[in-house]
Amino acid sequence: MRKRTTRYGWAGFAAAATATCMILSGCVAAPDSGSGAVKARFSADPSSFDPAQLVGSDDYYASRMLFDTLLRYDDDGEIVGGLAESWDFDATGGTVDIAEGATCADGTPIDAEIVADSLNRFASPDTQSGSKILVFGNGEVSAEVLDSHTVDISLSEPFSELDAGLTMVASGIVCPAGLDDLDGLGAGQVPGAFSGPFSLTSVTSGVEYVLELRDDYAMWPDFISRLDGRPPDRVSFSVGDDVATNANEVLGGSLDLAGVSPTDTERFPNVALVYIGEQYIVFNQNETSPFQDEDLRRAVARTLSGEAYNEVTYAGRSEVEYTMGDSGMQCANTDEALVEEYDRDAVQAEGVLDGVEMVYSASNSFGPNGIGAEYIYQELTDAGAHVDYQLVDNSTWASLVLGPDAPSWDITLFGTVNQTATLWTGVSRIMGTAIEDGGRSMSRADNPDGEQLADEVMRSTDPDAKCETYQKLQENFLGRVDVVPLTASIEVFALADGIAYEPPNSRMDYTAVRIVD
Amino acid sequence: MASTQSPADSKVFKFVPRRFVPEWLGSPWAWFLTRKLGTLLLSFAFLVVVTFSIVLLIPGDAARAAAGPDASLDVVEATRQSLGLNEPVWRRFLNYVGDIFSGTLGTSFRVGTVGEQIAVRAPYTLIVAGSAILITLILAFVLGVGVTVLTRDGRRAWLAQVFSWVTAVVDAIPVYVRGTLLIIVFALSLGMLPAGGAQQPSSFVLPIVALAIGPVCSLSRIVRREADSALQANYIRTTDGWRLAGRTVYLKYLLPNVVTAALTLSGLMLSGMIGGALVMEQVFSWPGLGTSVVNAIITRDYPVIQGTILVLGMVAVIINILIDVALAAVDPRHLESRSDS
Repeated sequence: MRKRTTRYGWAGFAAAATATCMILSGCVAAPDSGSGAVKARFSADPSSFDPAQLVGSDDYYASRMLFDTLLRYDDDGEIVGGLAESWDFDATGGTVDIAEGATCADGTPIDAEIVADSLNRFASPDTQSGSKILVFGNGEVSAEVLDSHTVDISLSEPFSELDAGLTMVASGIVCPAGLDDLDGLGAGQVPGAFSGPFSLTSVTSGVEYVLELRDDYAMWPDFISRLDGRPPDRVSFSVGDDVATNANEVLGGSLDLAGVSPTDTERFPNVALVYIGEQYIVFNQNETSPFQDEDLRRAVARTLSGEAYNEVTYAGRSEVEYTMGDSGMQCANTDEALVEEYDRDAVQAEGVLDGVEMVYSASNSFGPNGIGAEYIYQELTDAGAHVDYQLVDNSTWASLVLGPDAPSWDITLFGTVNQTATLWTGVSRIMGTAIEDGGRSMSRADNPDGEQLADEVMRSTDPDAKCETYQKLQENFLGRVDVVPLTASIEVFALADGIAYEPPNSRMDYTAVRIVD
Repeated sequence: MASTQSPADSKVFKFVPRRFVPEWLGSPWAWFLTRKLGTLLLSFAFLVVVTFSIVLLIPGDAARAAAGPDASLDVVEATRQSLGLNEPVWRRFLNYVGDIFSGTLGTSFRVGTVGEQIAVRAPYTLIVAGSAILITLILAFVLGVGVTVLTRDGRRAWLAQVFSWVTAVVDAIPVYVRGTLLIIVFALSLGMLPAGGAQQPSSFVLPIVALAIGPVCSLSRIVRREADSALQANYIRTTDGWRLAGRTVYLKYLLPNVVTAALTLSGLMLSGMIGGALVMEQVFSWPGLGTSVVNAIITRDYPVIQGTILVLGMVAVIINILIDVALAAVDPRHLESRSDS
């Protein structure tokens, strides 16, 4: 009798333990089967829900849903009103009229005072926003209330990209409840802070983020209102960075929308292409670098093919670029003749790069396992260069090339996250104030003509005149080979059946996701 | 049962007069548990130093990673100051130790405290690893002893061959390949289970199977070998002479002797499963401690790296100590050995 009890006791324990595990498993997450729900995936936890403190891609994607900006890009790449009904800017600022009917998630009407407070806090040196320079330029900023619907924005230094800057989600309008509780704002715990179409209703770090559509939201831009289908009532984001798993989950039905490898797109009938930014070669032209020599820069440019880079990095699905922006970008050069003609055989035969010692620093985030960086390395060594190759992860790479230590690298494969979709995001990396002096320029190039043109661009008020100057500027830095344009940085999103997604201006914006019946 | 003149006795009474020592303290169990507690404390101290030191070796600037690529150097420096990265190493170490004993394990460079992040993610890792460990122990013993009994004295030679081949082949497949194969079969081909994530209860099945199936194979091979040796031993052969029932022989005399040897090896194996769980999490986009620490390394979130590795290390140490305790309970001779699993 005792033996039997013991035996069944062990079996019972095992069964109970297994059952407990399974029950616990079931308690951790429950499926959502609501017909208005969309399941998507962040590649990493958003580091902040404070628009002024965004760092990574998923930070931007989440905040785009939670905070409306004054302006935004439409599906044709034109700047249209968001919270702003109209605007009138010159190079040193201007006025914005706030649209009627906009409210915060807690019902507070969004007026000029709320907008001015939000912009002033974003631009304040105390906020230390890394994005401020892209929205308002280098100078001081002041937003003042003219009347209940009008805000006046003043810039101490000319910055002609203000309209594009105000499309950036970092400048998204934070409602008073958020400004009163900045810690809570960053953690996404202040429901009344949101001005966008969605509210953050649940945060489980590393596991799931749930955003729900606001019932009272009425500020959809025209181009989004025209989209087929209906916006999801609920978007739940799980977290994971493996694109192969994402692909499997979209195929298996546990995800509706997720980033996949560009080489994986044939498995899906429905994909959306999203532009993140640009990729190009930047030369460090400090006094210890061999790339003070323009002939060497030119030789490097001739050994590299944008088409080949596109093929190895994006399976040919990206766009080959001829400047520091894609062809749809305002004022972007599309003249192929301005970039060096690809002729690697001639460079190898001439031996221009033979024995040239250089430090090549690159991130492994370009293409599968850093194959984009590998392509550049291979071409440089094939041309005879002696390359000290530093293939590192993104954080280490950023520390190296964006740090104050100028001689630490000679050539790098650079990738922008171009949230403003402007040439200036890239151009400001090779023009203007150097990094070590508080600016963004990393090339340390001695290019007074270029600097003069860049200054003229920033002072332009007429769009046509601005593009004309921009074209001269592009001729300048492409002619000097300060950079070698390669391709657009893209992400490919696979869509499940019943999901429609046309990214406006080819930029990531989950508010444009629709459910189609 | 315990001898009154065990080595534990002599060590205790060497330093303290016998009359000052309670009776229970002189028992082998007290000395054994004291040793294990010492192991635990030493391991903890070692892990604290190691986890603090490793982040110093990680290349890159955590302040730049936290501030973002668009941040100016002024913003990066301000971020460095606010994160405490400009303080001397000794002060950062003291802060780290203080954070451990405060229970928060520090503040993440991104969101919340490390303790909160671990509290959210640890259940996912521990449920999968714990379930896999449980399944491994049960199945390995059932399979190992079962096959041994069925193939005893040369019977069912085919079964022995099949068992040997199948377990060897499955065990040789790395956990990430096993996971991928399971996804292809059960998620993509049959559509029975989710391919990844943790949003449904059924999401737990494939990660647990992927993690358990290898150790089940390797441990069952060990159990089978041990059981086979035990069946040849005199004390088992004597039971034949006594005409004892098969179940009695296998459960009362064979199993305890197999358990001792197999448990010793399983300690190492089960600790390894914690590492396997971290790899598995990448394959299944599983929101556990593994993906947490990988993301923390990518974003240079030092407190999360330190806290998570410290917790995982301590889990591995505790598993080994529990195995030692189990061994001692099964076979008291282990109370006196210095190291088991």
